[in-house]
Amino acid sequence: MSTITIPRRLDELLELLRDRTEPALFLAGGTDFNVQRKKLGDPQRDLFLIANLAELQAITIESDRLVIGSGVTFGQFLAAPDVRRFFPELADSLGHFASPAVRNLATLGGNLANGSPTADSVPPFLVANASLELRSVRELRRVPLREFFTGYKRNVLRPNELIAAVSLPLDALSDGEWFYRKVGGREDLAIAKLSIAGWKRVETGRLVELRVAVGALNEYPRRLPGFEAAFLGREPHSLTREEITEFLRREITPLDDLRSTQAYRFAVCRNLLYRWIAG
Amino acid sequence: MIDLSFTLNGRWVTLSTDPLRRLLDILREDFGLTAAKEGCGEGECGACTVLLDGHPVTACLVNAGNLQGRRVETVEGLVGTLLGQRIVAAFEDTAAVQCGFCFPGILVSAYHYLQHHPEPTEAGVRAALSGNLCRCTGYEKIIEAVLLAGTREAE
Repeated sequence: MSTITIPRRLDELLELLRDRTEPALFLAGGTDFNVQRKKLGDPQRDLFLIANLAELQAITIESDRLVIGSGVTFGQFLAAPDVRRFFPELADSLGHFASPAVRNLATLGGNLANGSPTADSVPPFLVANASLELRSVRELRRVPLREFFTGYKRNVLRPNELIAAVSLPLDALSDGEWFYRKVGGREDLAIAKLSIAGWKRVETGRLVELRVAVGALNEYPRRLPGFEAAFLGREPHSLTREEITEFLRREITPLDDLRSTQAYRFAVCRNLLYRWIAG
Repeated sequence: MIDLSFTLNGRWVTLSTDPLRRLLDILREDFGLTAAKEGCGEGECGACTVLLDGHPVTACLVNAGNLQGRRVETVEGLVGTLLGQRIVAAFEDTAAVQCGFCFPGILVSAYHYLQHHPEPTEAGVRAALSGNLCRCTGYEKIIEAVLLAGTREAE
């Protein structure tokens, strides 16, 4: 018989999680939970309602990082002065996520924990070199976001932990060029057919840094380390479509599904990257 | 079952209910506030939009267990305000309502936008209403009505 608990404080919640061997389900904004419940019925997992845990809703600067509580909603994130100051690119890229009403409920932690392959926040945060703070009663574990997902809807979270915060190095997006494109059926309220976040730095006409993260093209949103390394030192205009195609093919596995086709996803991803990097 | 207290259109209410019960159902069934509609039940149409702590949310995605101590305002409360009245009048004057199903959600989103933007712009109105779907009108008169309500308030 699964339980429903409404902890009043974070330390109370962590104590309740202490001896768990099965992962619990955390309900904050409910923007995924309630859709899944409508389609599939009540979940058969122990549920913790955490929308009112104030400790998870802070946005602070700690030494050289911006730390965003997992309970911060997308609306709060987009409006936060420190986000607009240090990461305007992230605010611009996520400005059309879902809809205003859903942004006022959906949390950053929820988008990560739900772990959809199309999760919109993940490619931009991957390019911003985000880390996650995973908290248990005994320990705070910091895991780079690029190491958090391990497979389709699978991640490294332990049964006695929850995602407490996302942290970003303040200088992650200084001195370079940001790229973001989400391809969907419409501007708002659209699940991505594919999404791309990128960061490039060119010095004396040569590519010195490239970061690329893609969504909806693999079992989980990922950086493309092989692709990122393949073109360093090159003049961007010298890159050919064939090279971009070949290195992309090695690291994305797009599928046919109800939203799009493998062929469309691959071609559009390749075209957008080619145009941005080499164009 | 949990015991729940929150403010609803300015007054404290209490009830005992299932913690996963949706705010939309609580409003319609327990309080007879039927302006908020279930268009999709998945947060994608906006017909159930209400204000939660002053921010537009889709009530079909809010669970009772997360409502303790929070502030809920529905269309029925907002139409009693000056801004709410201006919005209703503007929609009447532009004939921007057809079947009316989307209108309560649109009113809440428009109310919130105009409350925070005394000088409304078309782009701002479009963004504010981007989560409210209308199958009848094609949106042009709705946008005109919201801009008109904003303009009249400035007078």
